[in-house]
Amino acid sequence: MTIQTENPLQSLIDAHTAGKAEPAWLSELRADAADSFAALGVPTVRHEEWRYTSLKSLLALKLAPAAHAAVLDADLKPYFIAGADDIRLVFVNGHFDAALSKLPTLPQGLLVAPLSSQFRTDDEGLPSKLARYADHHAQPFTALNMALFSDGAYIRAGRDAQLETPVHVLYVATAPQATAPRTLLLAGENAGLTLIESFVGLGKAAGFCDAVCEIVLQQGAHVQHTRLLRDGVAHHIGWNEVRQDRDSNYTHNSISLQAQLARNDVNVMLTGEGANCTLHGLVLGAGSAHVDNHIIVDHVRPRCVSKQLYRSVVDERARSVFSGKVIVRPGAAGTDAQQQNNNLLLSDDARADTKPQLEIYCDDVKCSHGATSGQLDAAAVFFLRSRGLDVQQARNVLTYAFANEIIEQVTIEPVRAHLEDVMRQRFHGLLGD
Amino acid sequence: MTKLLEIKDLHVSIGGTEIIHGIDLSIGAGEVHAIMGTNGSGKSTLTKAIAGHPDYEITRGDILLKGKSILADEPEDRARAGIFLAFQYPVEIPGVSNMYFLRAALNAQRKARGEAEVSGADFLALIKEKAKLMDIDAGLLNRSVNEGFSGGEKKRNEILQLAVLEPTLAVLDETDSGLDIDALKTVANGVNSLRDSKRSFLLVTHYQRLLNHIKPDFVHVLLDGRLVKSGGPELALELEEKGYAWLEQTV
Amino acid sequence: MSKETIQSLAEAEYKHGWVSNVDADQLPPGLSEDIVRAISAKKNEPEWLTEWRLKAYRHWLTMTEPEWQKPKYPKIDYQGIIYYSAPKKKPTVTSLNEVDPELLETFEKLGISLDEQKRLTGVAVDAVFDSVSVKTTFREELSKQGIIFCSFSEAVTDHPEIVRKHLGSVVPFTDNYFAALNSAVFSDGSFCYIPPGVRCPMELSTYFRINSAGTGQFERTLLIADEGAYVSYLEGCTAPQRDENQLHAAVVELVALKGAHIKYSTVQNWYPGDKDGKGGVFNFVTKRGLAHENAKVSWTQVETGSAITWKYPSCILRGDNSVGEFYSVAMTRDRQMADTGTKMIHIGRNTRSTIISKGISAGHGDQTYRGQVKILKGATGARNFSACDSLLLGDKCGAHTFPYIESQNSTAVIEHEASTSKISDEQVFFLRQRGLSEEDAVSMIVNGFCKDVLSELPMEFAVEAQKLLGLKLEGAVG
Repeated sequence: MTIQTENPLQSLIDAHTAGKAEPAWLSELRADAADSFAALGVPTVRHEEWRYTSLKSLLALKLAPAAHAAVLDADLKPYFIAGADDIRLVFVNGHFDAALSKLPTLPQGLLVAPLSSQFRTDDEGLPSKLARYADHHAQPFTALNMALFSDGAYIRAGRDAQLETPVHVLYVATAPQATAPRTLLLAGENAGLTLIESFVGLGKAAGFCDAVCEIVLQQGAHVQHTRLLRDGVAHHIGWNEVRQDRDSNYTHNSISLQAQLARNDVNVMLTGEGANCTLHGLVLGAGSAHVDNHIIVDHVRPRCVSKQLYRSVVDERARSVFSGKVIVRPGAAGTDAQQQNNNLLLSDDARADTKPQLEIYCDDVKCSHGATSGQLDAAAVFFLRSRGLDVQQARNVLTYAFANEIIEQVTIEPVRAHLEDVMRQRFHGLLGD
Repeated sequence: MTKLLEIKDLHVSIGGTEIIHGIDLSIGAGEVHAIMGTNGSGKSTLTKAIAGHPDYEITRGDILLKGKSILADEPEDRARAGIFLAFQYPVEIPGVSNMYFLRAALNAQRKARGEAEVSGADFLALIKEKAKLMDIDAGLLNRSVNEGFSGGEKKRNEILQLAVLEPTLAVLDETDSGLDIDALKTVANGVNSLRDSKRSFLLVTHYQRLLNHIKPDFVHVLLDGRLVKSGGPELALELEEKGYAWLEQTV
Repeated sequence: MSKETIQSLAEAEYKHGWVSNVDADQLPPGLSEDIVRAISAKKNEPEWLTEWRLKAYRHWLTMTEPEWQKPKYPKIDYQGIIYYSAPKKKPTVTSLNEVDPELLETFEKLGISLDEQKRLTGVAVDAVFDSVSVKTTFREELSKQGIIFCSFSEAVTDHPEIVRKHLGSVVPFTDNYFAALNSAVFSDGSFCYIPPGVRCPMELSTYFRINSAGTGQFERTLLIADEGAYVSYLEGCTAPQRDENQLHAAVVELVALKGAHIKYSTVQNWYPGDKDGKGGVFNFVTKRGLAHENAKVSWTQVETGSAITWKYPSCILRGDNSVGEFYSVAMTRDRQMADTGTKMIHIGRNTRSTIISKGISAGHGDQTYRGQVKILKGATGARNFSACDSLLLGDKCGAHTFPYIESQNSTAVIEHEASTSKISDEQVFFLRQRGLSEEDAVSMIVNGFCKDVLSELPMEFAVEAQKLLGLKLEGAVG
């Protein structure tokens, strides 16, 4: 990996590590991660996995280390999700805010808490789980997160435990902070969990959020995971590491609504036979937005099924990047993997780069991918105009329809309703509400 | 006299599950037998077992062709010995022309029997004649095997292969299913024109209507992996009238 | 499908592994400015070309060998390679009587007759033996129409103005490591020029043969179709069976001027190495065509040989309404590896490109389709369609698909689809039920899988390609 000669992010670590009173296992992890971040450096576009995404603007930021700030309930109101907010964890600049959060008493076998509250008390052995899945020796921003993070959500369901209510985690940043939120979700055998992560930036100046989320599904577990990049997300890098054991079922919805520069990595390892994963993504980009979705689905064991459907709509000077890779390991017979990426370019200066990839080492497979890139169908626009819509309305209707096919895939009813609402506002109150 | 085909106490399994639980059946030269049965009774399994599909395991019993067991023979050896299976769902083979495929198949069979291969010109004449007989659009001959064919075209194409390859035993697996009445007549006419004193047919079907057009010598009823009743053509009519339920009670 | 069938298909023997006994005029192994000068001197080149070679060499020294490709290979010792090896007799001849009989026999044995009388009409051949053109047939007949078809060396002497204008114009020596190396040390190759409005009346072909041990093959092909011209060009390649790897780093440049159409077909059958991966040719080739307004560049390739194939025949669609095509069949068996595909760079308005790639992997074969479709900002109305399918035979092979699709113009429409699957058991059973052996059934299915590409080849080559794919296919294509 090419190392930047100057790495301004390094100074954040130096500022952070000073004077912490933490358990030894955590200090050791942090030190190890800090070393590996220093060794890995910040990737440049010469690095294959970053060829379409330059981090120059990130390195030019003047960032302050995360410090707590007061945020009002009213500021966050637009980001609360009616019907999916009964369990809520709010972190402001990386610090847990109890006043904004809701933590009801949960049945036996379930835990939803800030990570920091469990560093010393967790009986399930947090030290053996945290940072054990996302590899900070390989990924510089995972290393940076480990070195910097103050707090995050810890969600755990024991064997057969079902949590019907979604857990909504809001990571709020007041710019120009550098925050490093971290989520750990452990779903035991046949457990069921629903997680929503919202990333929100308040204030005008640009900040940086370096997020990591680790999700482990044991045999037969079901997890639905929705990740929303909301307003004010200036520079966002998010790594999602998912491990799936036998017959488990994982659904991921990644919705980027307003991000300036965002990079989302989803790395799913199907390590148990018959596991199933479904990944959906939507990018709405305008202005000079740049959103990069990187997916790796690794079929390690036989008879797993994976589906990826990502769409992007880019307007003005916005740019979207999709890189999806399916790996089928030797012996992963009966693999069924599909991958689809569709891009809609609305302006002459918009740009879409896509790299769908299949890497297959086993013959008994059914794998396919498809990618398209284009503009709105001129015939459809004309049809709508002939029915009385003006050009802009016609374009909005068609764009909405294109994007909404992803929103429709969201199976958590309140989240879908909320997103449909946001989409309607975005496309000028179309379709008569 | 040795029968053309003899099936003795045949038991067939797929993936460890037994589907056919002991069938005995003899087909003499020139005879037309029909096997009728509901979905899931084991009809297709029986045809695949006769043709030697590798997924179908014979766990007991024997299949003899002209007095010799064929259980150890590969599918192509059975084909070359004169067994033809008209598939219920004919397979598509993209990029391989129907004409080329048929000539390759015919020559492979002739070669195995020690006969001279048919030249391109002779084959063209032969297939044109057969296609006309089967009322098949010559255009289908130049298209890839079954690719983009309608259901009826696929079935007619099976009968065309039957006409060209001239087997001694033709096994038709639900060739009538999904056909409209015109296509059914075309298929039936094709089969009738190929009937002679040496060639035998085994028709597998769910419905009696095919038997209005191809008159069988014998009718057998297959239920739950066993032949529960045999008779003449009148049995088919009885089944049409009463359904299969009355036979289930006799089992 | 049975293991034996897969194995027999995966282990079909290489038929061109013999060595000819031809005296060679060789330079000592190694690479330096002196060697570059010596090559240039041997060929009596003008000073501008010597200088161009030296510039390329100096640039090469500043470059590092790329490592991004999937096939990894042992380090090449560039000082251990012989960069110039030519048959001792006069390298270019006007009459067949002057050609070393051993050479004639070599090409006869490969099925390439250099005797115009015996040759099928409609194909002119330039035979290249260890990087040096031996004989070009039908030159006089072609020259009547103003077509120049000769060895690269002759073109430098006889038509320096055309060579100088176009050499390096499509593949500059700065392009990549192996293009730079080739530019420094290329020894010969084919040259072709079709004048405006002329439709070349016969297929032009170059047949490449590596013979000597320890030599690298660095030929250079330059093909120019002037305004409104048409040419169909074929190349075939074989090499003897040797235990060490041999490097083949060629450069092919195509220039299709306004309204011209170049069709370039390759049947590559370099020695692939033995079944354990010992020996074989490293086929690291740069091929690129430049299409001006309304021009068309069409690549068709059948890649069955070489230990490692690493190439991306590409099209730069500079002119408005220009068209690029890439049709490819790659087959890897035993320990063969291939990383191949194309680049379609859309610059002009309403440019169109089509990519059809078929990969077949058997044994321990491993192959990668890597392709780039790039729509630049000015390429309004550009269209691309890509379909990349892979067929796997056996559970030890690999097939990978890495497309790069980059669109900077909202009016462009790009579609890419790819699939990977194993050969269908039901198809094999169907064909066996009709009397075909299992091996023939598989061959027939594979051939059908490749048909869209094979049908792009000129008839004669299509037959050769089918044979190469190990199939009995007479009449199946066309």
